[in-house]
Formats: sequence, C-alpha cells, structure tokens
Amino acid sequence: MQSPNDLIHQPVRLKIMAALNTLGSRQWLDFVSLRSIVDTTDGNLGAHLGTLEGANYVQIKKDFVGKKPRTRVCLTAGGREAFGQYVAELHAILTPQNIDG
Amino acid sequence: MPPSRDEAAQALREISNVQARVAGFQDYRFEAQQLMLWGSLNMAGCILSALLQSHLLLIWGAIALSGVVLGTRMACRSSDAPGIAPRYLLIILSILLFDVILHVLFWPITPRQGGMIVPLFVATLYVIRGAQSRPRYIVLGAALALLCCCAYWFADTHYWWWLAFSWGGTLIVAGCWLRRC
Repeated sequence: MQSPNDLIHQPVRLKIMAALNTLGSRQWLDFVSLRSIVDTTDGNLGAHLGTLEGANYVQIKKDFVGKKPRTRVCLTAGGREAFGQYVAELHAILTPQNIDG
Repeated sequence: MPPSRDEAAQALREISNVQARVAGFQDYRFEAQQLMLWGSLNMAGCILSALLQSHLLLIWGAIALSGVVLGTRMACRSSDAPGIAPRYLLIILSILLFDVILHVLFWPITPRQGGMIVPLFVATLYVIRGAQSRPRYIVLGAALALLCCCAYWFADTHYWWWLAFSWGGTLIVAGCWLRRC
C-alpha cells in the first residue's frame, strides 16, 4: 500500500491543510484566523506554512489593509489534489481488507 | 512506513474537528457582519423614533427596506454558498411578516409594545439556534431578551433611547464579539 503524504501527515500541517481545504477554490484565509483555527503560535504556523509553500501546496499573499500588514493563505490546486489523495489513503488504511491484512 | 490503523483514524478525526471549527468560524464571521449592520440600523431607528415619534411607520419602513437591501448584498458578497440570497431574504422577510401579523392580530398596541416584538422574536431565534449548534448564540439571545425587557419595564420617558442601546447596541457588541472568536 502507498504511504500517505509525509508532508501532510504532521499534526500542524494536517490542520492547516484541512482548514484551507474546507474553503472554496481561490478563497483566502488570513493568518490570524488560521492561527486561531489551528491553535498554534505565530512562529510555528509560519514555519509550517513555509514548508507547505515550498511544496507548492499553499500560496501566501502579503498586502496592506490601510497601514496594517495582512498575510493571507490559500490552498493551491496541487495542494487540494494532494490533500484529497491523502484523505483517500487514510480511508484505504481503514478499509476491512487492510485491517485484516 | 504507512501509519497504523489508529493513526489513520486519529488523522481523520482531526480533519473532521478542524472542518467543524472552520464551519463555526465562518458562521460567526458571517453573522458578525449581519449583526453589526442590523444593530446599527436598529439603533438609528430607535433614535429616530425617540426624536420623531409621529413618523414611526415611515422610519421603520425605511429601516427595514435599507436592511433588506444592504443585508442581501452583504450576504451575497461574504458567502459563495448556493442560494444564499433567497435564503437570507426568506429569513428576514419572515421576521418582518411576523412583526406585521402580530401588529394586525393584537391591534391596537402601543408603540412601546410594538417595539418589543422583533427584539424578543430575534432573541428567541438566537437561543434556539445556539441550543442546536453554536453556544455563543445562547448568550446573545439571552442578553438581548433581558436588556430589551429591562428597557420595557424600567425606561419610562426614555424608552426609545434605552431600546437603541439594548436592541441595536447589543447586536453591535455581539457582532464585535463573534468577529473576535
């Protein structure tokens, strides 16, 4: 059996991908909201987002709202596909023939 | 090495928890915008009612119309859920219709009594919604009902001013609270 994506199979990155996957295509989530959903620190979230961005799973946009800086994150098409495949692989592990084996 | 069955089940549970958290988060965000809009409009309506007591029908007609137009536009912009505009209109128009029907059924009622119908109905809806899904709505509904009843019982000559803060003000504060969750 194929091993699920190791990049996604990490607690914080799994939460990030699951949160972004819930949103619609090309829908952005701001950094502060994502931190609240994932329940982690700024530094930890930033590091894991960097890893996911490096794999081209997420896209990060930095801009300003007035004078206030804002960071937003969005799942790429590749990221959405990888997450879908990851979930399918998890389900495959739990199917009866794999449990028996 | 592939994860064990327990690890896979744990990961799927985690995904499900995050999805529920995002859904709640989006729901509160969406509601926060609407609460702030309707809170501001109702506060304006109550203040105008205090100042121009002979034009209540005109004032509240304009407030309701503005709320429907602005709220529908806001709902369409902030959510890409299919059929959001018709569903939003159905909810708002049901509340307005409830208000009109109660006025007709129990006429004559005083403006003071009439002013309590929508706040108490909305408060009840929030408590029900909170009991079914998101607990913050219970707090909102209970606070709204309590403060509006206080305005009705204790504010004699300054009823509309009290209602401006207990009805409009509560919705605005609740909107800020949900936005920060």
